[in-house]
Amino acid sequence: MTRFSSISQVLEDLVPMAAVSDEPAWEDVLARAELLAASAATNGHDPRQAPVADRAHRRRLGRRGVAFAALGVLALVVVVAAAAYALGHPVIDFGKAQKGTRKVVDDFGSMQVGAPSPAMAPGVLPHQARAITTVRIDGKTHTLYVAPTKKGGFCDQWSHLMGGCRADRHDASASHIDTGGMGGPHGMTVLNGSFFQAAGDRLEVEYADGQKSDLPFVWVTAPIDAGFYLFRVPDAHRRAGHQPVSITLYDASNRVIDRERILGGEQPDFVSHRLPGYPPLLVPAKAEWTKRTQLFAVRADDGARIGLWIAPERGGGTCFWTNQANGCTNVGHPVHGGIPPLATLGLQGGGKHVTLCCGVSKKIARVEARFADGDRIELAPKEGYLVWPIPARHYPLGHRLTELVGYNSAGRTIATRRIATSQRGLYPCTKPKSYGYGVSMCP
Amino acid sequence: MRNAGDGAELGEIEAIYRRRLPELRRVATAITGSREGGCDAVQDAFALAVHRRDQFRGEGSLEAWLWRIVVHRCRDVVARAANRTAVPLDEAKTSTVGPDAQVQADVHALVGELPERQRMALFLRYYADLDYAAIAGALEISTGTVGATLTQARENLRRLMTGVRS
Repeated sequence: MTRFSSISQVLEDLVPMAAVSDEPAWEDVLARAELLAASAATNGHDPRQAPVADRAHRRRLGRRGVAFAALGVLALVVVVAAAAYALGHPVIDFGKAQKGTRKVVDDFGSMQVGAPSPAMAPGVLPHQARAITTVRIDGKTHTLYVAPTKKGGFCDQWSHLMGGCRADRHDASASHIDTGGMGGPHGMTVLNGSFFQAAGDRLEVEYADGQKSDLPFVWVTAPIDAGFYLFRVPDAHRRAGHQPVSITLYDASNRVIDRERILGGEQPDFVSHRLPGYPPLLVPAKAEWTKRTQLFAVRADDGARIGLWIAPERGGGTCFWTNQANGCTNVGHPVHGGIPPLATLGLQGGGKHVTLCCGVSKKIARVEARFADGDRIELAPKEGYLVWPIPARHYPLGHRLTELVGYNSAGRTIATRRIATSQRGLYPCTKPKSYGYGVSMCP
Repeated sequence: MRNAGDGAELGEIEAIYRRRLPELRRVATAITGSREGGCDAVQDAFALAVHRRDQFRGEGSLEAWLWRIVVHRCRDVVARAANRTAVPLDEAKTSTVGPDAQVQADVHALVGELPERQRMALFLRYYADLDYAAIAGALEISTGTVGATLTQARENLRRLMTGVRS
């Protein structure tokens, strides 16, 4: 047993003085306050004060009817206790769920600070991440972690699998079941997704052969208020003609709330090809490889060879590919109709060089790249395509690309496009900056 | 100048938060028994304070009102932890058992013997250096009771320490 000499020593040993870490503490307070306000506005009550049993019980009443009220209370106790172990229709009290580990908090935090720009960040509250449930697939346990966002949505992550965000529970996609997963050569092998509809009582997957089966899901209480599923597609349904084709959500009266097609799992739409001096190239599967034409062969300042090729698309049209991008259009031109002439020309980076790529309207005879330091460089597209490595001297802030101007063959300006210079992680640098949550990027 | 019943200004709450964060976290850590839980409780408590700042009636100091919310939140965390549903995680956790861990275990056991009110008063006095009026406000007891509570806490702790030594 330890010996103590004074009360001061006892209290010092109990909680040693620690330096306050550099986490965005007050901002986190405000974000949590916003969440409280949003929840209060949405639900008419404070999620931290409402007894969870009451809410879950109310939910059960709505689903099963008043006649089952007594049974519902009993079921709830069982469900909450069993929730962590098996998906059925468990209702998980988010407030009581185990907090995410530091790594999990960092993972969610990286979704926030790792976004290319603050406007694209999901507004996730990483420190509120909670472990919801676990599912075993092929001998491996996958844990669902969920964290709320400022807009009433959430970010989720299944360990060792996938993650994502449905940041706004009021946007256009919120009324649809989210369907995702992992695909094999003949269809999906794992299905996962979520839905916001509280009336959802049963999820059903339908296969191409007409068979149907229920999908287990778990409902997570406020502030998440969403259902989640993760499902291993049976071997019998991993074959062509038997693969999953749709997911349907029903209410307690067996009325369809939403039905979504399952996308993905089809044959990949690109194939890998090798050409001497280039990294493996992902070429659209519809491109006629043997009829390719190389339009550009350039070198970035780091020595990397960069190319752009085009080839006819089977069925009409043109496909293109570069070291980093590819695409096809069956209308014979990458930029047409109402799309602005410079809209498909953008920056690709995140590695040791940055390139300007790929489509330009055929009306544009030359493109002028304008930089923050006043430098201007003229570029010549070919057949509606362009790839150009940005010179390394234009990587630092204050020297970056700020505007593209498109001229027609008569020298008249027909398009301009502003380029943001603050995209984090795009340009290379010598000293990456720490953004917290283990994320370091070039500013 | 704020009048009674006007609510609290966001800037005032933020100023107290920034000035007192180390003490707030220390007290919260002591109550909840974990640094992570304590830090989280402080964040939640201040979020609640920001959310409900209109409800501050100015009957005592703003700081005492904030401490009361923090203490409430910490108690809630402790109560919830006691009822928490176990979730099997696939990330194995390893704990280090060494001299430091032993000291922590002993000191937790020792302080855990104190009645809750005495423990809270001791934490607020020692870690946050609150005066009797502020402790009274935070614990919702009279100022006179604070002195007696602290005296009892120290006596009990000394007695427990003696017991440990023997």
